[in-house]
Amino acid sequence: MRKSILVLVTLAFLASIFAMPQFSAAPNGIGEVANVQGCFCHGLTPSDDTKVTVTGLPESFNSSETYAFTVTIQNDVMALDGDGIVTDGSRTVPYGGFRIIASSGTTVTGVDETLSYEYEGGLTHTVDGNKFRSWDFELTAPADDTKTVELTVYGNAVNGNTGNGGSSGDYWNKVEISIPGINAESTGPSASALVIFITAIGLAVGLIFLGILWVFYRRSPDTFTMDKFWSFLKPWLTTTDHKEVGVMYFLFGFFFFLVGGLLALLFRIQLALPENDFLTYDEYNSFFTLHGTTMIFLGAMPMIAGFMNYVLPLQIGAKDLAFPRINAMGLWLLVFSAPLIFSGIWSGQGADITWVMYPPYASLSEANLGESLSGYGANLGTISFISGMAMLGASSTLSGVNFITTVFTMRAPGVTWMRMPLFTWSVFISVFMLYMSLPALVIGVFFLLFDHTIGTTFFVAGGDPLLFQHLFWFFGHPEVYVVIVPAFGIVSEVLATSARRSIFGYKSMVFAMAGIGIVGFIVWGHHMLTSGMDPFWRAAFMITTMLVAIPTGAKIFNWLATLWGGSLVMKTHTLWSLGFLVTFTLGGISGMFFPVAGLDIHFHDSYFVVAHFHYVFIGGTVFALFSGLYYWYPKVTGRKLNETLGLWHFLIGFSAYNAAFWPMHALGIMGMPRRTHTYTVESGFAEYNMAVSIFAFIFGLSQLLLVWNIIYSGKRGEPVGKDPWGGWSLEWSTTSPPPTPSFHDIPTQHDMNEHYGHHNDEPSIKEKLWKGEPKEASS
Amino acid sequence: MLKFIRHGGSVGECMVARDTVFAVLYEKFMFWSIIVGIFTFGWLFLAILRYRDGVEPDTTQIDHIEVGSFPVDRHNTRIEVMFYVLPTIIVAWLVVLALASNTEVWKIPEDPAETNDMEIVGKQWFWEYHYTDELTWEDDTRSTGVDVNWQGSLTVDASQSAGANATVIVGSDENQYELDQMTGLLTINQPFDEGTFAVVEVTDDVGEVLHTWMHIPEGHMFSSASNEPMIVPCDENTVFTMHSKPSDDSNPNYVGVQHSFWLPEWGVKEDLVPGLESGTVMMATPDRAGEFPIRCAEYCGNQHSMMGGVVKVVAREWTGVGSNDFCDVDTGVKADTSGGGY
Repeated sequence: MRKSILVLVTLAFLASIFAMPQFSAAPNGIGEVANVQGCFCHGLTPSDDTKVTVTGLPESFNSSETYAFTVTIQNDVMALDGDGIVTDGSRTVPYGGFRIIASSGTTVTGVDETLSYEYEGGLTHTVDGNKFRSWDFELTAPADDTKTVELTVYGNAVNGNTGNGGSSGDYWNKVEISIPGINAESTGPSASALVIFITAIGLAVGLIFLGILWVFYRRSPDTFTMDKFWSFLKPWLTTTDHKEVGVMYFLFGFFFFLVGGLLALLFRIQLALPENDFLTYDEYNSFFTLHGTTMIFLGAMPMIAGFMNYVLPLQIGAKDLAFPRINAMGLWLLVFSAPLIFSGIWSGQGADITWVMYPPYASLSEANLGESLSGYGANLGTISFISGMAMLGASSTLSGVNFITTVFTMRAPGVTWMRMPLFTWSVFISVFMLYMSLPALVIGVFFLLFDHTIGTTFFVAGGDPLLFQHLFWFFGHPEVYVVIVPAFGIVSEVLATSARRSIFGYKSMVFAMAGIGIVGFIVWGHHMLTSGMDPFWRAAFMITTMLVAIPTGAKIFNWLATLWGGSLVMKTHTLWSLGFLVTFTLGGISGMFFPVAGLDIHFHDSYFVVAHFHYVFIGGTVFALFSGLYYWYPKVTGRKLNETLGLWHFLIGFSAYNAAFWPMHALGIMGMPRRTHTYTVESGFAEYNMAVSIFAFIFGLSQLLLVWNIIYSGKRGEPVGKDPWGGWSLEWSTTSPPPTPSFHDIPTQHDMNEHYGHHNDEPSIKEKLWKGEPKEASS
Repeated sequence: MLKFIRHGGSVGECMVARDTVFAVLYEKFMFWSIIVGIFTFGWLFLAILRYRDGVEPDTTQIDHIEVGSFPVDRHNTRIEVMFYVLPTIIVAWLVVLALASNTEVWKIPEDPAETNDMEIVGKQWFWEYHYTDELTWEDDTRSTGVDVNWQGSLTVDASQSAGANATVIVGSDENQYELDQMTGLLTINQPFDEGTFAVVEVTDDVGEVLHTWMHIPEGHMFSSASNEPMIVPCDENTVFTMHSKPSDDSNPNYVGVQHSFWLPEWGVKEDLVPGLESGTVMMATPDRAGEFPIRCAEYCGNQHSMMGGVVKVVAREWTGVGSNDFCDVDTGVKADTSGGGY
């Protein structure tokens, strides 16, 4: 009884959530716009009895030339009211009406200006114009003669009745004419880039499903049934085991990393040439919006969450996370937020508000602008996009609670705070920052959603657009560190293991990460240095931001000191970590340029910013994630990733990556703004953009090597034991793959310092620092 | 990358003038970046080469790395502190450099009489340039050979050039005049009215414009929607007060959107915040004549990328020797005025 009420309430709640966005979206939303049904007031369907003839138009047009043409309507079968002839004058022709819609760049005017006027993007007849069935027009062709003029002419045969609604008994029809310019290339079949893109994603999801089905079928082809397949799939869909959830987090993130990359490649085609029109404004704007959001929230963060889920409980010797069900819920919230973020595309207009979602633009919509001005506001897809962002907020909050609790309460004996592996430390600091900063984003996003759906004015007139920027960046800057700090953890693990030494300055590494975590909360203003901020606060945020360089610098030096005196084994994961050191240092150095107001007023929102954050996001986070993938893959599958493929992946990926993103620094200094749909030939941006596009494609394609490696090595990779790389932390003490629950008996972590003493800094740096000796020898 | 920073240039060329706060500061930061880069990468590659597997014996035993045991700590307090102190020193010095530039960038003169003031209005998707100070300018007489003077009456002296005709626009009236064929002179007895927009264009016999003289009165407005450039005088501090306004006033909820007015040539930009009544303020000091791009840097909707414009730097009207310098004076930022040397 109670259960059914609960179900009903839930269903009603879900139904109302789905209905809410529709209220404002319905009028012109996912249907046809008013223009398409030019004569709909005269009956909903066209009539074949009415013939619309257009004479005088050329086969092809010359640039900007004007052509005269005549539209004539004929309908000999319709019943006229009376004789259908005008009673008031000398004319003997029945009534008629027209509407002409031309593609952009083309203007159509009536020869007799009293007969027609402009109405909603087309030409329509006046009351005087109603008294004819034939009219003369002039068409001025667009200046660009490589285009094709599309002309839609509606003609309505009016029967002349005045009573009975006036329009009953009228019959209309339309003709569509296309006139290519003399230099237009023959038009092949074409489809909008959005449709192509969605089809590609749909195909990919379908292929993944078929792939899973095939793998399952191949296990035992003879006894295969769909029931068995379902009982194989169901545990994955309902699992609460941290390892399976982790694997799904990673695969989800990696899939969207590729989707986001595909989006980037599509708009890199658009940007490769000056004044290109491969994508329309709408497509370009929604592509880079989705690219940014996908890469950060659906790509990088889920991949990191994958590593956190899989590795963290193993490293601290816990059987599972503190709240396994909440963990699974976080995953599925994330999974369902992805279609929500993308589904705006199906309205024909994907969200175009950029990943920072700055109002008032992002707040403006039909709900608060009204229909006539909605062109100045954000696209319709924005509503579902923002809803998806709110769901992501919920997902990340649940993860945050879970991991903080796990680290506080579930550490195995011996895993004390200052004996935790650095990856665990980095995850702890990162989720703490995420948990503390998320409320600001969620508030901002909900206010935006209210602005969109019920027409509130939080960030438009009467509200404060700058408030959102503060809310967003109060979340957004810690978010940047949320994404990079776990990367620090991965690199610390990999470099120490590969150098076969312990990490240099463990405590100072922990303090550095904690320092970044704290300072990260007071630097958000540097994203708003050009927003009219008071000079005092510009200086204040400048100083706090530059402070971040101190712990970051200390971390880099500590990594270098870890390598020094080691015995560096060059595996693929080592290469990616060393690559991380190079690119992250470069990204860190360029990061020092932004907080300085005198430089930021030029760099802000230029391609220099784009270069910088791709250097820290890809060269930082993603390279570290690749490193972590090669490092922990044997633990997950029991097999190594192929080292040859890995080497090629690194060589091609690393060099193409640098070649693609380095020129963006130059573009930024030259004055290319970000989020620009195109640029002129004279701007001088063309060569660099072409280079960027070419190398971006190579970088994108090199990821296919990794995809193939993951699939291939899962089956054929070299089998490994518990500890293939010689790591020390507890995840290497269990089998590969680990059992479920992850430890049958909670392990105890020992401490070598108790046996051998740490390498203290006593008499001579030269002797003690790099070599280190057992306690017995030194004391 | 320094080669992208250079003097002047025409619209669209790669730029940022050399004598701006940006360029001076950028060079200093580049200097320190390269130092830090050489140090870090030198150390990194040396470590990779020197301590690679096979060169050094297996070091696992030094730190007693065993599964399930926290390895022997490796640290040296003095060096670890040094790793914090070293970046601190560099950061401290960079903060000194940066703070010096802060005052330079926002040192906007209080007295509006000292500066050339303009009001910029951003709308979806074009700029409006409103003149709150009048501006009378003409092309460089030395290179065009034409001199236009308009006090009590308008006199055009084109004796040193191929000028044949003059077009005079006053307000909305446009008139064509022929210059005297022998002397190249033209005098029109019409007093100068400083409240009316006026243009004098001297053309040669094929209609090519040789020389332009223009008076832009207080309250005049140019708009990038009709492809008009923003005209500013050289060698003066021009202060821009900027507002974002809606393109359509019919709905009070629509107050405009964020834009950012970017002059890449002088490396300055500032956002336009809708609803902020006092507006935002920015200053630039053009040093030489030419045409440079204006760009919108803050995403402002569908046609954001089309929201560009041109800024034309001109010299104020030449009224006799010593009255004007034809943009010859070097008013740019000197490297030594913002924070000393490196």
